[in-house]
Amino acid sequence: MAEFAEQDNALVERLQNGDPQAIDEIVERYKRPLFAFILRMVDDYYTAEDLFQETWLRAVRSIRRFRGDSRFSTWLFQIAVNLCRDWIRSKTGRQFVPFEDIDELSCDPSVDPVRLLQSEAVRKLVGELPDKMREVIVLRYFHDMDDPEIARVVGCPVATVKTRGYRAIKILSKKWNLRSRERGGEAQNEILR
Amino acid sequence: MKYFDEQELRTLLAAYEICEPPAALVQQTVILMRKELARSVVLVPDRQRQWVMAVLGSAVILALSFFYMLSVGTVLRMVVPPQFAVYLSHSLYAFTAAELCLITGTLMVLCLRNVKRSRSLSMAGLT
Repeated sequence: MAEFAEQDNALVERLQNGDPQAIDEIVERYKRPLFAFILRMVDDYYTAEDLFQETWLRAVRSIRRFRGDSRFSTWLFQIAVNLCRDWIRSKTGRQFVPFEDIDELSCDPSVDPVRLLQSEAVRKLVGELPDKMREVIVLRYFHDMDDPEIARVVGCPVATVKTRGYRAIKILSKKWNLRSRERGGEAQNEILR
Repeated sequence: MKYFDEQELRTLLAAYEICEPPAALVQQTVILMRKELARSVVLVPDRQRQWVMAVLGSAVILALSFFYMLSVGTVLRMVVPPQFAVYLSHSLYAFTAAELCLITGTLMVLCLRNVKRSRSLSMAGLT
């Protein structure tokens, strides 16, 4: 972990000195987690593409102001969180492209269709969470961040993160149980087995 | 009502997979970032800008001092005893030399900025 952070710091230093080769390396390291985070937050594929690009551009524009007080990943996700929040605030009235229409979402053509349906069910469940709770759940469970780091990314006290996480889990549990009851529970509970 | 425990929740959420962003998007992003990086190098970094401003400010202050020395020095020359006149003319030379140094420094900063700009553009493959 420390070694990973050190490599990040070295890359950031190269970026600050204007080395364009460092861009390829740093994008390669973070493209997947960053894109996944943004997509889980905005729940709209094409917006996620735009915000992914904008996050990187903002990062490179302000890289000189990054002083290493936090990890690079924390700083990068802070930028992404702010962009996602701005977009969520302004999304009223926009047209969404249904996930089902997007071919790129299937990682592998031979992917199990049942697995895809399960993924879709969980996506909807996470997508229905209030934005601030979703931030905590996504960062904690998909990006394995601990609560202090999440607090730095979302800009609130650790206690608030814990509360939001607790409430989000309650909501998720309640909705999942409700959905299971409505649909007989068998197919959905397959996921938990 | 049964709430998820940590493990259950992780298992549940693991079903929501997301693949890598499209290669074309990543490639386009990298190109835009390279241009942005080159542009940010072209723009004067904060510290360098502050330095240029400091040098320019000092040059202006020294020019005013020079004017002051010329005018007030001339008056002083008439007022102070003749043995102090030599100090007045020495201080006049010192101020001129300091001013020349500051102006040279400013020119050097501007030249180095241009060198850095062309270097960063060529590194980014934009020339």
